[in-house]
Order: sequence, then C-alpha cells, then structure tokens
Amino acid sequence: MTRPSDGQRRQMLVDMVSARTQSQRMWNLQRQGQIGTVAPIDGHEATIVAAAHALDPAHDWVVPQYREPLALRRYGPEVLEQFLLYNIGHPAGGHIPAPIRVLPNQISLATQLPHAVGLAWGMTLQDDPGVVLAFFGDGSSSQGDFYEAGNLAGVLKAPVIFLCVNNQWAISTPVHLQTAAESFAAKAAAFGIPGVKVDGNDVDAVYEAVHGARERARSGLGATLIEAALYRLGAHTTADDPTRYVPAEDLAAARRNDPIAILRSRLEAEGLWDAATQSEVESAALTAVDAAHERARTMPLAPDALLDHCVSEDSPRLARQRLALLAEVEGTR
Amino acid sequence: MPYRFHLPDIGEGLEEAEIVEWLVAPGDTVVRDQALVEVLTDKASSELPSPVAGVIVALGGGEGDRLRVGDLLIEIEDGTPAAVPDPVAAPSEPATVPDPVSTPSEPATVPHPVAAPSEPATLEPAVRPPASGGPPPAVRPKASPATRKRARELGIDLATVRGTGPGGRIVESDLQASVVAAVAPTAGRADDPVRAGDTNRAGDTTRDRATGLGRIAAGRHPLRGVRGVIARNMAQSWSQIPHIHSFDELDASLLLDLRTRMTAIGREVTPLAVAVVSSARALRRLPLVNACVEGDEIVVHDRVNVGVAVATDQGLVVPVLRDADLLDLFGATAEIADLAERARAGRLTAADLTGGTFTVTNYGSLGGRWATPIIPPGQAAILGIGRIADRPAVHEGAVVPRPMLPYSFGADHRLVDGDLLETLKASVVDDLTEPLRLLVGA
Repeated sequence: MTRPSDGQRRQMLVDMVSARTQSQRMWNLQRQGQIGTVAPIDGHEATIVAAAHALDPAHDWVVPQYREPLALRRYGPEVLEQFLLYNIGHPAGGHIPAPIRVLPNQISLATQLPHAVGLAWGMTLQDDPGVVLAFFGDGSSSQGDFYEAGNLAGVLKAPVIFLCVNNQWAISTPVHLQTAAESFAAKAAAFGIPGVKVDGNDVDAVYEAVHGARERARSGLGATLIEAALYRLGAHTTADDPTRYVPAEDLAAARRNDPIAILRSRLEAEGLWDAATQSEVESAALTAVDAAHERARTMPLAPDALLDHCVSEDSPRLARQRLALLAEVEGTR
Repeated sequence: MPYRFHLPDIGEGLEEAEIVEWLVAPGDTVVRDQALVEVLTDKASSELPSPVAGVIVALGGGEGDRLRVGDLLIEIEDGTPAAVPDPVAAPSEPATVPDPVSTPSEPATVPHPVAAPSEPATLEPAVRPPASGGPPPAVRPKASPATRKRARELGIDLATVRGTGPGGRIVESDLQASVVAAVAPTAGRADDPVRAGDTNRAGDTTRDRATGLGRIAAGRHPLRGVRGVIARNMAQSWSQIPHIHSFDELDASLLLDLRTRMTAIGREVTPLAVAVVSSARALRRLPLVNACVEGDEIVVHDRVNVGVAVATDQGLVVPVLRDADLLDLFGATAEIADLAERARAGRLTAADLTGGTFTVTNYGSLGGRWATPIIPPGQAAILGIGRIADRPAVHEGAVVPRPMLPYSFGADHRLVDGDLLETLKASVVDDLTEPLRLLVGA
C-alpha cells in the first residue's frame, strides 16, 4: 500500500479545487465568446490530479486527451498558460515548451495512445528512466488506435500507463452501449498486461494504482491499463446539452460522490482544510486563469505562426514557403 | 464607453439564437460572470454570463427575438474611461461609472464555486449572485427553459400559472391547462377543416395509429393537463346543460360547385368556412342563441365569435374566429386555415382560444356522419358537420346520387326551444345549400 502523505493530499485538493474553479471560469469565457469549445472538468478532478501526483514531473510524461490540462497544475503553470492560448485558437497553444513533459491536447479520439507508446519505447531506447501516462476515455477505448497501442505496448513492454477515465458517457453514449466487456480494465487481457479498476473519485485509490503501475514500468515489466470509474458531473463540452440524455436521478446520485466534496470533508476532519483555505485557493485559481487568458489574448500572432512547432527545424521547402507567406502578407499591407 | 457584448457562437458553428428571457434590465448593476440572459439555440438553452462588471445600459432585443451571431446583445457600462458620460445610461444611476466591487455582496471575480447539491439539474456554472445592485427581481416562477419558451408561444404569463411539478415547478401540461381552461372543447373533432368537404376522402385512421392515439399504460393516471381540462369542461356541460339535438342532411351540390369554381379562378372557399359564416350571421339575428346561462341570469354576448374545434397531439383545442359575422367567405377560409395550422404547431395564443360564443365541429373529417356534440360552457349551441358523400336523394322526382352533407345541431334547452333551434337550423341550411346567399352581405 502506497498512500499519499497528508501534504500530498492537501496539495491534491488545492489542484482539484483550482481545476474546477478555472473550468467554470472557462465555461463562462466560452459563453462570452472569448474562447472556443471547452470540456468542463467537473467530476474528473480526483483521477487526473491523483495520477499527476503519482508521477515525477521531472522525468515522467503526461499524454493528455482534451479535458485534463487544468488538473495538471503539478506540471507547472505553463500547462494552464498554453491551454488558454490553445483555447483562443493561437497556434502557439499547440506546443508546450521544454522542460514541461506534457504533450499538447488531442481532440481526435485515441490517436494519442500510439504516440504515448512510441514515446515510452523511445525513452527505453534512450535509457530515459521516466514513464509515460496517457489519458483516454471510455469512448476512445472503442477506437482501433487503442487496440494497436495496447498490443504494441504489451509486446515491447513499453513503460506506459494507459489511464482510462471512464466517466460513463461518450458525449451521449452510455457505457452499456459502448462495450459488452465486463469492464474497460478487462481489455488488458488482450494485450497481456495487467488491468486494474479503481474508484476514480478516490485520490488514494488512483494514486496507489498509478504509483504501482509506474513502479512496474520503471522496473522493466511494461505497461498497465488502469480504469478509473467516475461520473461526468457537467456537460461533455460547451456544445452539449446533457439534460437531454443524462438521467436526473443518476446525476443526483453522482453529485453525492463529488470527488472534491469527498476529499474536502476528509481533510477538514483531519484539520488540513477549512473554508478560508477553500476561498483562498479559488481566488488564486481565478487570478491565475484570468492572467493566462490575458496573456493569451495579448500574445502577438505572427502570420507564419501556423508553421511553427510542426517540425523541429524547417525543411528547405518549408523555409521557402515561410518566406513566401511572409512576403505575401507584407505585400498586402 | 459601454462594453458592447455581441452574441457569441456558443455552439460549434451556431448562426443565431433566440432570446428566451432577460435576467437583467437597464439600470441593473451586474458583476462579472453574472447571468444576463437565457438564449435558445437549436442545440440547447444557455445562460450567457456577463463579460464585465458594470451597469446595464441597453438590451439588444426583446424576449422572443432571434439574433444572429455577432449582433449586439447588450451594452454594459463597465467603467472603462469615456470622454463624456453616456447619455443613454439609465437616469436612475446618475453615476454612469459605478464601482463594481463596492455594490455586490461578494468580490466581483469570485463566482459561486460549485452548483449547490440541492440543484442537481443545474449544469451551467454561470453565476447568478443575489441582485445586490439593481432592484431585486420579482420572484421568477419555476419552469424549465423549454416550458418558458412554450409559455411565450402561447402568450401565457407564467406568474398566472399554478405549477404542479416538483416544488411547484410549472410543467408543460400546466400551460395547456391554463390555455384550455378558458375555452371548452367540444365532443367532435375538426381534424382538417380545409378539406372538410372532400367527397373522396376516407377517414384517415392511419394517422391515428401513427400518433399513438388511444394508447395509455394499464394502471391509474392523474387526470390533468389538457385531458383534465377537457374532462372538467365536458362534465360541467353534460351535467348542467340540458341538450337537445337535431339531425338532418342537405344537398351540398352547390356548395361543392362553389368551391370548385372558386378554385378554378384561384380563390379558396371551404364548406367549413361557409358553415362558420352562415352560423355567425344567423346568431347575429338570433341573439338568444348567442348567449349562455350563468346562475339565474341569461348572459347575451355582445360579439359573435365562432370556435372551430381542431384536434392536436395535445388534445382537442378550439381556436376562435372573432366577429365571424363580419367575415366574408374568403377571410373566414384563410383565418380557419391559419388557426388550424397554428394549433397543430402549438403556436396559438391565449387570445386565440378564448371568447367563443358558438362552436362548429367538423367530425366529418374523421369520416363521421352523425354525432351529438356537447356544447362548451359559456355557449348555447353547437353545429357539427359530417362527411359529404354521394348518397341517394330525391331530386326532381327521382332517386339519384347526390353529394349529401349530414349535420347535427345541439342547443341548450334552457334557452333554446325546438322552434328557435329549427329557425337557426333553417337559416344555416339555406346558406349551405345555396352559399351565394352569403355573397349579398351580412
């Protein structure tokens, strides 16, 4: 049993409250026409934050899908800053600068999973001691990329952790229409790797599972599939109306298992949290997201920015195109 | 300069949205992220939160208006420096640049952290803080956005509706009840008044199968909504009005001929419209039939308003042609078509459904020949018309097939004796038999 320390659990709650506060502010920014589509984080905080805390940001990579960045505070303020850039549509938001070991957002379902396996394999080849943790959802598990990535990881014993965030809904598709398997963790059998299912609202359980999978990967035993079961408490994204399909009684029951409320009441009982702390954390989180938005809003946008971050160094052809583009724009001024 | 908030694309590729409800008014002080307005897109209803703190200067549209993405939604004086105070600002706020932080009861930048668990249906984190700035809003009746939209379509003020949903929440059936309460449906149905006289059209029962007509699960169900109102009205009519009925049929040759010839010159006149206009003009001459009994009094109505029963998915509704005695056949035809279409689309207003003094029900559209229609409360008589079909008739001494229109009159025997009913009937039958009579004026 590897449990997080009191200090770690307190820091996890800071990160969880910050993530939800910022997510709600971003929802409002979207409704005000200031940023693009946003996937609210409500209900996913414990899983993402606890997983991040079980990793070592200096060595371990996180490969997110699209909902996780706000909860990756442990990886540095740059994650939030780049997320806001990304959300206003700035091309620079598609790149997270070194030494931050977080890949950019991925919208296409499950395509980040082969990337994660390749990254982990490459680290092995380079004797990099880190591991890779890839987030994906219950819906993504139906994609071919999931099976290809899982198979390759099993064969190569790649140091990768597949973390399936099962929030019960793939937009409006419920789990029982997503798979006939007894669980998503059970799919690990096809790859010859261990599959673990944990309560995604319990930071201790997620931390322990990820910590164990990381130890396994670092010792050369290969990949692990973890299913964290939780419930999406908000809309899929700002373009979704869940009241059309989420049963109200299911949602009400899920709200009684709100991961933030669970951890907060535990920490309050242990004297590690109080209302003043909550208020301070929310306030600081808002300040941070507003600052990140302001930074993104005022970030200069060069005409050739769309060519940045595609390759490490422009090829001769790309360099010619970049020059031609700039000349074209200059000529129209 | 006021902050100008333009309707954003809050979906993915949204083009326009409807203003469902303003949650603020000019002069109100708002904090950042306070909900300003509820809008309805083709995907969902959403609350749009304020991008800035300040005082509402002007609204970009009224409730029910549709705005295109990019249209001005609202102007908010947010205190950014302006050379001259904006003269448009509400006069009750002489300082057009308020201190947004001093008025609200909580810091302007702190939204409510998490939706209260007691409100599980709230998925939008848009903030709605207590209206510490402007005057506190009147207590909003509880209702879902969809119900609010429906209420606006029906022209119903939610404050006048009693909610029967959880916690007194107003649900759709309450709206229907509120609309239909003022008007009594009749026993017959006018499914398609425009096609009433179609001699070739059989009763369309496939439609009924398709709409699930008559289906209900075994067990006990509350009698409410449209069905509850119909039940109460019919019980009241049946128990309080001593009905008499008179049945006959008339030769509809000239009626159909008129319609055919009008169609040939690009005009439209339906048999139902002829029945409505002829009844209305007869009622003008016979005011005792344009009346009702209330307690110990006879109430004689001033105007002649004829209701036309229309079957909808929600149940029977009876929109009303006002001053039908003053309409000509073309106007009545067009108005009936309009009312029927709006009834089926659920777009009738309360005004469309109230004030009837006589009713025409076209059960013939369902294939019926005879019926004993029930008089709505507040009225003294009703005309039901059946399906026109070729039937044997004596014409010029020979039994020949003629297009016959069966009809049924019902009347309140407290006011209408047999002689008066037959007089009314004769007048209407004369006009239906020779509709040219109606062209010479009321």
